[in-house]
Amino acid sequence: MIGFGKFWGISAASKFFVTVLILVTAISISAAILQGTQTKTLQNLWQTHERGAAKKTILLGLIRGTMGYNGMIHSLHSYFLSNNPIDLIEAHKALLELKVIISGYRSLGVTEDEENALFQLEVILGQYRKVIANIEYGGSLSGPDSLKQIIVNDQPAFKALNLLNTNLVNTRQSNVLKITQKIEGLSYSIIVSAIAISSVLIITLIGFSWFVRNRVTTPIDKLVKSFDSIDPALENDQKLPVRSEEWRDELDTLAQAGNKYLEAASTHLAERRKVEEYLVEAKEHAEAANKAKTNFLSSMSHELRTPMNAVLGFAQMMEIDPDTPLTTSQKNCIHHIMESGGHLMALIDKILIFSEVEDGTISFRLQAKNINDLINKSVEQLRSDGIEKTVEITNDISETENCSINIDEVGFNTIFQALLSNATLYNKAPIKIEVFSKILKGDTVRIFVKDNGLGIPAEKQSLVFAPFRRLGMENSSIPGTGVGLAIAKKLTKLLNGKIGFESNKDEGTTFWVEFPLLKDKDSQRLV
Amino acid sequence: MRATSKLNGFFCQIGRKNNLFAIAFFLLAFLPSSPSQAIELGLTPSDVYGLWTNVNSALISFSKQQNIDKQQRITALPLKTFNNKKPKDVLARVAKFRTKLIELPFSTKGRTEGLLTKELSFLLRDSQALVTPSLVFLHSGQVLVETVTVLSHNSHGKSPIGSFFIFEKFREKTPSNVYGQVDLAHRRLELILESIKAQKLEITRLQE
Repeated sequence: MIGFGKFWGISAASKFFVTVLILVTAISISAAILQGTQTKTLQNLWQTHERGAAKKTILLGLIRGTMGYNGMIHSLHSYFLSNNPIDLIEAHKALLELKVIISGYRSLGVTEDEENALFQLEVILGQYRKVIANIEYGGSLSGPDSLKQIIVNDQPAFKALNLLNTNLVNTRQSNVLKITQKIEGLSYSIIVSAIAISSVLIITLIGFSWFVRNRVTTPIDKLVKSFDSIDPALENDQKLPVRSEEWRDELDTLAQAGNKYLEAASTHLAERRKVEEYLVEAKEHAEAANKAKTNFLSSMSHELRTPMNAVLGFAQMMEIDPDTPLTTSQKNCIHHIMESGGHLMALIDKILIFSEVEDGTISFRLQAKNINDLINKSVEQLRSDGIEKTVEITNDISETENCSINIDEVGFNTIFQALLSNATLYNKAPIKIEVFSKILKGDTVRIFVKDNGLGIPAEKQSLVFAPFRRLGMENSSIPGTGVGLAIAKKLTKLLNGKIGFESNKDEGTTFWVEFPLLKDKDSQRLV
Repeated sequence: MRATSKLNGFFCQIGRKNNLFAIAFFLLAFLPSSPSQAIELGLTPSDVYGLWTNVNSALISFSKQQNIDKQQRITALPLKTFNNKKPKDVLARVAKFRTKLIELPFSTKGRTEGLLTKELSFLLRDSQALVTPSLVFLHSGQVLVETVTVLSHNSHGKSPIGSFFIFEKFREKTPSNVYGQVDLAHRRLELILESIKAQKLEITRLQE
């Protein structure tokens, strides 16, 4: 059992209306063809009757002319007057012509009356022929059958001609009537069929418009509004309207498909929401833990630094006190205390800087500084630490001789020391470090620190700037905490710079750091 | 009624068959009819045949009248038999005869239009493409008139001519039969013309 909706569904109804339109078109064409047939009938009526009657009228005129005082009779009169045989030939010729004309008249189709009249004419013409032949052979011109008698008593001829004429007039009147009736019938037929076809067409179009409005446009509008009213969060169980089974059509199928989609999307969104909630919670936990770690590091650094200062200070005092000279063994012990204490102090300083950078409490004093001066100071500091005995440092910074950057000197030194320290520690003898600088695109300076060391394996390069990561060197004899490059990266970012590196295993590593060049040397500001 | 019922039957038939057939039928029905429909005046080859027997009689009378030495030969010329001739062929032969007739010392100028050709042109216009017996009759009638005119003129009106305009009733004559009569007249005329030239006969020229 097919539902009403299925029958009036968009595709089914469209087919129905297209079929109706084809039928209407076919009916229109058929009506036009039938009217064309009627017009053809009208044309035939005119051709077979009225056109024939017109021709007969002309032939009747020809009969009168050929027979009368301009033709045969005229020739005979001339012959009586002049006795010229040519006139007699002309009379014979006229009789011959009349034979042709009468035959032509008959060939157009004649009624019984016309046939009788034509026969009468032929009898009269036969009399003329006999009399003319009689004249040639010396016959008398007098008597009941004489030529004069025939000419004077031409009533039968007139009667026959009048009969033909009357018949023609009647025929033509009848033809006019028939043709007029036919034209009227045709006009009526054209009007009726035009009205009928137009009515069917209008009704079909109205029906189609109604269908399009009620079954297509309005449901689509409702569907669109339903879509618009759906909460993007899909929190409530929202659905598109679907009609009952018997009224269901293609748009309802579309709505059903939309509902399936909405249901799937709603499920997906609910799951996603749960994941998001979990992630937010995890993030909060992580941030809190990080904060706690930073606070711990900061507190611990401060707490360690104070006693360490006391340890180092008293150790130094013991070493240099002249009142209590130390034995050699005691001197060695003091030296170990001071060396280990210094190392521990440097470690505490780094952790302190790292914690300040992490919790955002670090402050900078930005000043216009010559880039070469900054580099030279950092290199000098490294050399002063006695490194130069084992490390060869080359310095090519001529390109940036007069260039300045807006920088915090301590921050820059911390960054650069980290790079130099890294190049020194993770290296192999003979250690060579190249420091050089370049100007990029006219407004940025890039400083390179290149070593000839071990290089960084490709798979570990993403962890180079991660804090407390030493990329497999944790258990090696190389000293370090793994926070130097992490601090350098964070400081570079805070100082509006960039940091990066290029490295190949066993071929060394080139670290670089870049800062924007200063255009106004006098500008100073405190962040 | 019969035509209507046939038409209804036809529509019933095409209703059961495919529509393409109906469309093809209507298209064919509205095609223009042939423009070369000849008007037949009802004259038959038998009528034309009668005319040419009279032309032959007139030529024999002329040969007798002029004392042509080949007169017996002219009279005795046999009628040849022809087959499969059409009115078009006959008309061509008639035209050839008229060309020969002009060689007689007789002017046919002004009389070569043909019998009633102008007057009946409204009927004959359509038949120009198709030669009918009626058209041949009109041209042959003019030939008869011209031949009889020559005969009458050279006898100074003494020769009776009425008999040449009384036509014997022939039946079932074909264009081939008519062609034979025209051919016979043509051969007689050729002999007459040969004799006139050989005997140096003086034939009176008609006044134009």
